[in-house]
Amino acid sequence: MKRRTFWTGLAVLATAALLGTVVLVADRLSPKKSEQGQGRAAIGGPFSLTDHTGQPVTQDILKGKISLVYFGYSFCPDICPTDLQLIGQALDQMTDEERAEAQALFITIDPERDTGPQLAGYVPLFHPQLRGLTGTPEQIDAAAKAYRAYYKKVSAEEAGTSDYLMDHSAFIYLMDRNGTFVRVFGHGVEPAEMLEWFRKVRVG
Amino acid sequence: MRTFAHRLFLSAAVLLLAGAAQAEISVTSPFSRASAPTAKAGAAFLTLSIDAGSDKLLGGSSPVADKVELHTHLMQDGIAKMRPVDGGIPVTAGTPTELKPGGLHIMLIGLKAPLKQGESFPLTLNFEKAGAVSVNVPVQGPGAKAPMAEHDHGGHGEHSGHQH
Ligand SMILES: [Cu+2]
Repeated sequence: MKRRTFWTGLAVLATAALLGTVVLVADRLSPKKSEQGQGRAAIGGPFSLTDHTGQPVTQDILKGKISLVYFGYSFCPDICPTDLQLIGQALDQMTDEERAEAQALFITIDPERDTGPQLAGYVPLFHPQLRGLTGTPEQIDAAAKAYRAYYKKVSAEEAGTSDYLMDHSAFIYLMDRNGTFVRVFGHGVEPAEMLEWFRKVRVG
Repeated sequence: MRTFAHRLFLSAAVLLLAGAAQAEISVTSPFSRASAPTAKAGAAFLTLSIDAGSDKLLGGSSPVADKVELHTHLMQDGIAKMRPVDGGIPVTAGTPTELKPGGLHIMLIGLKAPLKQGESFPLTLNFEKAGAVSVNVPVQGPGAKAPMAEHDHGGHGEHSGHQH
């Protein structure tokens, strides 16, 4: 158990450092450069999950759509709703044609609480087009690893609260029609900025 | 000059003392966010101010939740960490304490029913000196970032009004 904790901690540090770098790089590079920028190959990859309607999904759902992908948990009353709302607003600001090519995915990092039915009640609060994805802890772990998303359960005892909490990275990933990573947006990003990037990717 | 300054200091001190005895807490701009039908948690946001001296928010209770806790969010390198606030939330005269998304919030754990946009619920806050202060918290859209000032900013753009 101790050993596992150590390796988890190490992975977490590496992930945080990598993500930090990616954000910095993405922010500093000009749009054109960033599209071919580094980090592109490092983020994204195969996943096998189940959506909030019970339908099994893989990374293939990214194909042909321009996607905004977010990792979070529905118990989070604060950070996740804010970011999901911003994603919803970005979708709302699109033209109908653009929206038809857009996809928004909320991948839970708290599969224990976020079952399909829980997500089915949660995701429509933010946008009818938002799709919630859950899975077994192993499946969630693999998806989070592919996206370099960080999460960690903090027990109620450890946190000093009446229920357990999840620490998690709060990034919105933009993926192109091939399912290739374009860039990340940080917590609280303006919908207009997401839209601007969406449009850049859309026209290629 | 020295006497004047001295007198000024004294009267200020007297005012402060007088103020502390009858300090009044105000809780303004409360709001909450609509929750999923099966949500286990929610949050309330509000602004605390005091007209003189200081006080401390220690906790609270509400009929809508099993537990009311004081939480904050720490953002470290893009990682969100929600944690309980140790030792209460201080309120000092002159600087209102804002509990708002992304930081301090009142966490409602064990929701007994979903929080529905357009409805409101009572929340009692317990202060170290002022004791219990009750406030009615309106429920806004699921991602509302601020208390509703202009009409209907609660939901997400054009889909927001459907629960009214
Ligand atoms: Cu909280």
